[in-house]
Amino acid sequence: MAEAIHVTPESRLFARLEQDRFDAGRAGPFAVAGAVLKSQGAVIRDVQQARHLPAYLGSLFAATLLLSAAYGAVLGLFQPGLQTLFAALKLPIVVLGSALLCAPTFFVFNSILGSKLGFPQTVAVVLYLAASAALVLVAFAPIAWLFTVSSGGPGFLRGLHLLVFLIAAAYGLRSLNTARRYLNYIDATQTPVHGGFLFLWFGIVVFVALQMAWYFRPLLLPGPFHSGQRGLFFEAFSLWTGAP
Amino acid sequence: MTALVHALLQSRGTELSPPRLLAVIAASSSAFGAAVGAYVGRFQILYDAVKMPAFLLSTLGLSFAAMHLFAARELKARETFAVALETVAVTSVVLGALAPVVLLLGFSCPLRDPRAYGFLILLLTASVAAGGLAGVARLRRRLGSLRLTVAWVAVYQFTGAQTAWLLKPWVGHTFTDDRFLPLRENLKGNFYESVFRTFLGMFS
Repeated sequence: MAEAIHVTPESRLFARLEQDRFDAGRAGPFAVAGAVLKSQGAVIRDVQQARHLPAYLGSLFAATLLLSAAYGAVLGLFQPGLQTLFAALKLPIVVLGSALLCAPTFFVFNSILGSKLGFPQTVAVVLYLAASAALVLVAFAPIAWLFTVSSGGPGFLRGLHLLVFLIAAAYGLRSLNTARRYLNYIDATQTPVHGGFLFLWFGIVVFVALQMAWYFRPLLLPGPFHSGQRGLFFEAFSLWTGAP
Repeated sequence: MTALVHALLQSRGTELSPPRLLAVIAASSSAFGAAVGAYVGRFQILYDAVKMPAFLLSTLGLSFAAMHLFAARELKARETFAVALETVAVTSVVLGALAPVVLLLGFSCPLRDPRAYGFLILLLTASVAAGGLAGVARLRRRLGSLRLTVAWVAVYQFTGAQTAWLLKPWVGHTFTDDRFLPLRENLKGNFYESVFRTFLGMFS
């Protein structure tokens, strides 16, 4: 009698990831960005085995930088000129800065919770999250551009960009969670990324990103590169709601 | 240094000699101290970078005899010191990992704003609590005795609260970097008296 084979969504995902192939040895930033989209399994395996790690670190960093700068430029097109340049410079600082500022926390707590990943591998995982989010940003850039050049006021655009950032963050978290599950699958002797901690840590990343974006305000309206004003991002909510 | 930190976090005891642990404590807690001092800026960054390792290590020095008293039946003094130092090192590394986040908030929180000051105090407390929890978890594993862990934590926390009180200001409620260690002012009361007075003040 034939044995029943249980195919779960988890096993289907792992089977698909196992088939992914990618050679990072000679790949540039955009090829690596493509692999983050289409060959996640190969990228995650390489990071887990510390294969081509310098190439991954460089390419993921460069891809995140370029892709988020492209979205920043579109965001800054609401006020063409210097503001376009400023926004193109500020957005990579926010995206990469938030990820890298939180990388030590990710490394230390995962190590405590049983991960054997080294610091460069952890940074690669964090950049994988940043690159995934940046890919979503650049994918929405044409739509954002359409509304930027055709909208009269900043009100709608604020909501639109916030929505795009939320989608990017959600996709980044989903990618990282998939990487976590696959990492746990390919090396059952350890917990490379702890599930519960991942979501807590992502909350810290979002908090840091909001604070960085607020620190480098304005992103949409005209203003200097950095206003020199200090402040907590909670102020934005009281500004919007009109609370004292 | 990252290899040493990794060995510490994964409890690979053979690589963790006391001088190495002291180096990890100094580097990590200095980074956290500097981040806390970034709110006021300038010399406060240096002051806190010096005071934070001094706080952790002086608390350990002052508590060591009492801690060893509880553990004397199971451990030699050298072993007590090694376990305690490893615990402080884990706490320091967690604090060091949180330093970039605290630094960002320190740089960007508005000065002379009671809400921002209160927020930073909360952040500092949460960071120290996170570091403390990680340290206690390691201590529990190393000692293998809940009773001994509770006793050690009680002794260290009781001493640490007063040491931190003596070494204040940390964040800087005057918003200036004019005081490294105002001992004359700090010696006027102690942490527990202050908490008791605050408690009584709530009912008067």
